[in-house]
Amino acid sequence: MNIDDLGIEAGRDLVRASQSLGRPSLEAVTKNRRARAGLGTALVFTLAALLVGMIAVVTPEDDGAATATTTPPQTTTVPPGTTVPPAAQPVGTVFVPPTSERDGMTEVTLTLLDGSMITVAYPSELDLASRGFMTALATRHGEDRNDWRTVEAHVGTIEDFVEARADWLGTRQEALVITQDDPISGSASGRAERWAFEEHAFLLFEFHGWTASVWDGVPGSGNPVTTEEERWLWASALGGATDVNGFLVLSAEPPLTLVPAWAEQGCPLVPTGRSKVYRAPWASSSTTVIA
Amino acid sequence: MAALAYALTGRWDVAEDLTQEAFLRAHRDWKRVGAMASPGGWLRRVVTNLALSRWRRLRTETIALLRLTIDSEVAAPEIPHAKFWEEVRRLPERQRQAIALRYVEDLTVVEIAGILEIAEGTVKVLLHQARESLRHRLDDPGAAR
Repeated sequence: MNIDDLGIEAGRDLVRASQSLGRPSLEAVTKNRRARAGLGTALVFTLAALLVGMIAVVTPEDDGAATATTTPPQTTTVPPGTTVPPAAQPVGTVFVPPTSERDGMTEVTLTLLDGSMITVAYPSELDLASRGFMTALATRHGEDRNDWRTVEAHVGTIEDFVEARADWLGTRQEALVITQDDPISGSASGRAERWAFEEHAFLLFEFHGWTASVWDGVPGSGNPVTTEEERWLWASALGGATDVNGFLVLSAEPPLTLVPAWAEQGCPLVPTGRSKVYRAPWASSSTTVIA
Repeated sequence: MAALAYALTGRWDVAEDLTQEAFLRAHRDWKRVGAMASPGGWLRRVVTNLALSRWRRLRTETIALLRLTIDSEVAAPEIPHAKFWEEVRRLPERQRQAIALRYVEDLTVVEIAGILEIAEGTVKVLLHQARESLRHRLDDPGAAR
């Protein structure tokens, strides 16, 4: 077997496969791998242009703890005090917000999990809103650099959350009701349970028609698993309510704290699918990048 | 770039995530990156580092996060030569990087050496060792497990 020939063929086919993903992608500029002469600068310039071209304007209405405003918004798209009616239908367990159009850009106003409201604008052809948005936030529960988790918000009950993922989560273990033996009197207003599957586990907190999920490891996976003490902390310190527009807003009591997701990982809100919306602190607090 | 990340991670969603992160880093630090002799090489180095040695926790969490979003409309493309790439991912990290850069990115030994910041001779050795391992494993699927 000639490994070199096989490798060249396999590499070429892999690049072709990557081009077949068929959505707005940074990979478009790499479709001619044979035309890679002088790729370096040209490639990055092109990709940077694409990124800059997809910078969306975010108008913070109540930036809260999420950002420290250093520059004024580049545009104002939603007057202060404007409320956004909740969407009629979620997609799966993801919230689908209403949108408006302006000059080829689609605008959507969202409430993030820390209560801050933003308006995201993006090229209409990306059609992100139809796929729904899921908001996310990092939560720190200790002093160590690794003592943080990402929280995501989903429409529906804990059962809805699990049912929607039944096909890939695999065999489910017995759900652990974190608060079963010793009901807590903290800010958690709903159910607090840990559901473990073959490779993943989640701490799930139900608040007023929403479920907040916290990713957790399972023994043997090599990924950190929350301790019983940490689960108790989460259940007793995490609270949730809905704002006037129907979005879930979280609260936390010390030592649990809500922190801007980008400070740890980079994704305060996530449209369904594979694109992420980044609030981009290096650009300005009023700007986010849709990539 | 996503193909390179796929070769190293075996998942399109993670590959795209890592690629996106690499470009965002370039965008964020463009003054410095843009002034480099080979910004493309810098990007490839970031992708390979992200894929192999950094963000392991994030990668795992990203998989979970991405799957939480249930995107049935976007199907991952079928992977030709899946067995080949599966065996590539079983190689030691440096060999894996060298093979991916050689065959996915179609780079020369000199270019690979520049990206991985190692000597050209080391790249040749890595590629040779990797090819030998692949030949052995692909000829005898039960080998070296």
